[in-house]
Amino acid sequence: MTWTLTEDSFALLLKQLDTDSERAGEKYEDLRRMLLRFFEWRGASFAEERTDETLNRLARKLAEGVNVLETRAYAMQIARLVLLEAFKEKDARRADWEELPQEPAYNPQQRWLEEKNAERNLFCLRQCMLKFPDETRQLILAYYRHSGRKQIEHRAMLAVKLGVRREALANRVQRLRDKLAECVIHCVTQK
Amino acid sequence: METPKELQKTMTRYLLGEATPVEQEDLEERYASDPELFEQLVAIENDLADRYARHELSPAEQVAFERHVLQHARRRARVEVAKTLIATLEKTDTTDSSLSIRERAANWLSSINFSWRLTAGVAAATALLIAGTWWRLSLSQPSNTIKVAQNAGTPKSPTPVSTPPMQASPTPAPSVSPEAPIKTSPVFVTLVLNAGLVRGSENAQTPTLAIPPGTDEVRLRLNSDVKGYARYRVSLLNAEGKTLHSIAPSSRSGSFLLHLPAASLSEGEYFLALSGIPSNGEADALSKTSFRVVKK
Repeated sequence: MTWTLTEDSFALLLKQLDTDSERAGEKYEDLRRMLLRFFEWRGASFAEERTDETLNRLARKLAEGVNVLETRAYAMQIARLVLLEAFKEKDARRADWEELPQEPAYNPQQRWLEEKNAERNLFCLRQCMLKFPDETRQLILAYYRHSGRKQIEHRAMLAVKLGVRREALANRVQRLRDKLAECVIHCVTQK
Repeated sequence: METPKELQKTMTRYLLGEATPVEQEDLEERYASDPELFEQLVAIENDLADRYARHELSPAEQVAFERHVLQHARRRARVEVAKTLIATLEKTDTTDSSLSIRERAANWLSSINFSWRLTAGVAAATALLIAGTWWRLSLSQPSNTIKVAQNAGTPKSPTPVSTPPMQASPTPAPSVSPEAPIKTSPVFVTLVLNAGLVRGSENAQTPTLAIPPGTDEVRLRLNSDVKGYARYRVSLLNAEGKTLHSIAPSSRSGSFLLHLPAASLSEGEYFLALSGIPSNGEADALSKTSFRVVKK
């Protein structure tokens, strides 16, 4: 019988991450973000589904009473298994797999085709930026100005100006950029 | 004990799909336990995407990036976001560098209707329009065969030579009227531009490329007298400053040729930007030559 995530098992997972419910929600988002990147970086198709599968299995283990000390490290072990299964499944059912919608292959010679979507991307980026508060928009724009050494100096100055460590500023902007990217990806697939 | 630089190299290799299985597992264990390290990886990933968007990756990095990163739809989408963000930022930066961040943000939001102001001069740009370099041969090949081949990404001949009728068509040739003119080679137009090395002239007339109906391909030839760089990059930019196409030709000086599908160009103003890349160092912007496209 297939195990499904219940409200109780999800609550248990959140509690495992932090006893404070607000902090637990943040840590859950962080964990999900890390797992999603892991599957992307390893080139797995359907990265979101595999991330959810990993989180489901983690919740199941906790519901079964497994004592997990390091949640992120444990989740990574599960994610590796999910990835291996995905690759094995792909090998075992290659013929069937090829029938499924795959990640479209990228051909640099066809780059101009993607450029046709530039206007749509710009529209979506603008719409998504509008969802951020004014201060956040300014921060993103300021952070990504310049390149090379000038960029490094500019970011250091920005951190001083905002009174935060450079690493803390980088983390904050990266999360904003991730949110922006998710919004744009959602927007372009809806259009 | 690895240095921060070595770790950064390993992380870059991981992101470009070049890390060994042992390195992969080691890094994954580390970033799973260390959120700061994970954020460093994300920062490197973003930096790679931004450098790709700015054409600042080394040739080896670019190959690995296109082979590994762009194969994944979600990562490709992130790169698209980077490209759009960078292009828009560069545009607002070019508009007026004295603006405050707040004014920049306001400009950015109105940029969808932004009308590009030509700040880089096109003084020495003289155009020799080889319009109507038509290539229309009426031989015995059905036109839909050509279309099938083009859709499959068959590269077109880089030089204007007549190609023989295609033999290995995946579709049977339908019967056609003997009077019907049928294309066997791409129909193209060529615009020759001289790289604008002198900036600031506002009197220079903008060269115009007229694209007649039925044109398959546009060839842009940029002549330049620059020398001394290890490599060059020629980029086609739209009026808003967004890079539409970019090549790193093998030619070390003189003349550069850019092939484009005619359908990828709409009416409006464009720029051909030439950069020189020294063996060690960042790319130098050498010229930015404007031209206009009209469709007949």
